[in-house]
Amino acid sequence: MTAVQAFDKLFQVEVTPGIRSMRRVFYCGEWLQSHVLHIHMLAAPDFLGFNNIIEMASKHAAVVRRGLRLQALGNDLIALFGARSVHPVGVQVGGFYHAPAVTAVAQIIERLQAAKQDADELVRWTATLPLPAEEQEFVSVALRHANKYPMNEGRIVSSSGLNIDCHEYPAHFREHQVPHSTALHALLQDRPYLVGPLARINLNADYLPIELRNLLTTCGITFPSQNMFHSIVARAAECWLAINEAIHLLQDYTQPSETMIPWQARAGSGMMATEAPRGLLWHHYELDAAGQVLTARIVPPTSQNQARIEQDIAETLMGLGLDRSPEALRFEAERVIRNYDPCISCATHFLKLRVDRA
Amino acid sequence: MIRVIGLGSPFGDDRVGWQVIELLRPGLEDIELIALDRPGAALVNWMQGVDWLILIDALNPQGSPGRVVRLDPEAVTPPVGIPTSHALNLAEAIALAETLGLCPSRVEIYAIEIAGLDAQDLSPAAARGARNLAQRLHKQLAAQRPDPRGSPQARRFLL
Repeated sequence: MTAVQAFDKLFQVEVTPGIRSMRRVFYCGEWLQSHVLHIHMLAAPDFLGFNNIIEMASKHAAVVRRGLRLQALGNDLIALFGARSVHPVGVQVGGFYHAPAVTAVAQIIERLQAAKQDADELVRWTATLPLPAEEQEFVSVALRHANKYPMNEGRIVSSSGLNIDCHEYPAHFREHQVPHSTALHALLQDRPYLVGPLARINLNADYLPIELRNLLTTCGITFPSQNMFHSIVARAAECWLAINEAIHLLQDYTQPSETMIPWQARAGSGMMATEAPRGLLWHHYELDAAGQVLTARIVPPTSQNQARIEQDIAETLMGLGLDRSPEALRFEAERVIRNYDPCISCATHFLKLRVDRA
Repeated sequence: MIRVIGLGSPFGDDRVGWQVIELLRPGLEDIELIALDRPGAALVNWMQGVDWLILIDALNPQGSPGRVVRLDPEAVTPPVGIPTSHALNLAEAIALAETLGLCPSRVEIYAIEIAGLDAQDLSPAAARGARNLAQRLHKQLAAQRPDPRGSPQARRFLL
């Protein structure tokens, strides 16, 4: 989505409002699927004292079933436009390769309507989890749209006052290598920063629909929040938003005769930033006249959070007390890391802890 | 109700499960034949509502590409107490379905040993494995299907 929009801009393609809406629905699917997985597989078991979702399912079967239903809905929403739910292929420069049939859209609207109740309950449930109450100092970074909750478009803003176009990203953000990690670290004005659902909701809470805001108030959760563990509630709130937004965008759907705007490749440089489920995603491409990509630079949200994760671990473990057992320290560090929904948690018991006690 | 699911991805021989589904299609139109791309936890949703589930997956290269192995669902269990990741593997998905009481009464798992993940097309060995398994399942499934002519008793009556 980020890449095709970078190329759209470079090729001066003006997509139709219909295509723009469908791209937003596509991202609703991505958010829903990704958030539901993180909530149920990584975050909730940590808060409820289970090792994994299988153990959690033995005590919270209805919760896990609801999660599986919502995940399937997210998958199907992605596949509706992307042709498949894993690494979808339906998106192209200028639009989509195909447009779904009206009957397929009607079916998914029906399922989205039925899922509203699930989304409501999911928000309430995440708010009742025994979340630690510690607050931390951190800067939130996310897109901000002129009139709606950001997904595919917007300016890059921060809680420290940044407000820039995506073309200005390299002037303010710096990626660098560190000796102890293979991941690039990113800093904003030489400081770690947070991207992702919590940062997004912190900077765009005023764009949440009033029903959702009321629901969060009923649950006793207020955004902006400096409690990193409110990320799980932010994810649930964005699931709610994605479901309701998709219904809103699809309800007047008619199958377009053309699903893409024709374009001509040209040489130049194209940049774009979108809000991927895990946060701000920035792309930069340089092309020659034949449309061949000469250079590509992708800054994903997970690497942007790397420095913030390390800062969080340091603060959390200092708060816990470094005299704790290595097992306790490792669990707490892993819990902090999993809370950010990083790709590295795809490794189980991933953290190798070496304690040097002077 | 019978459902056969081929698990895989578009990478090299990892699509071998999908190939089996394609080979099974002719003649088994009344059986649910499904190809899924790395479904993770979503596989649990596909395990519901059937009496007999057959799962087909790729097996990592171990020196005998094309070999077909039938795995015992009881033996395919994830280690206890280990955190799961975003993407549940087959053993974890089955364990989750069992915990939720969604596992069909009869589950069969077949795996085809693959040659690798890098090739554009299916390797000859994996293709051979897919053909062998498809033939075997075709025979098994055709025999299990309700006879369109009715029960043996009814047929006797008709005769």
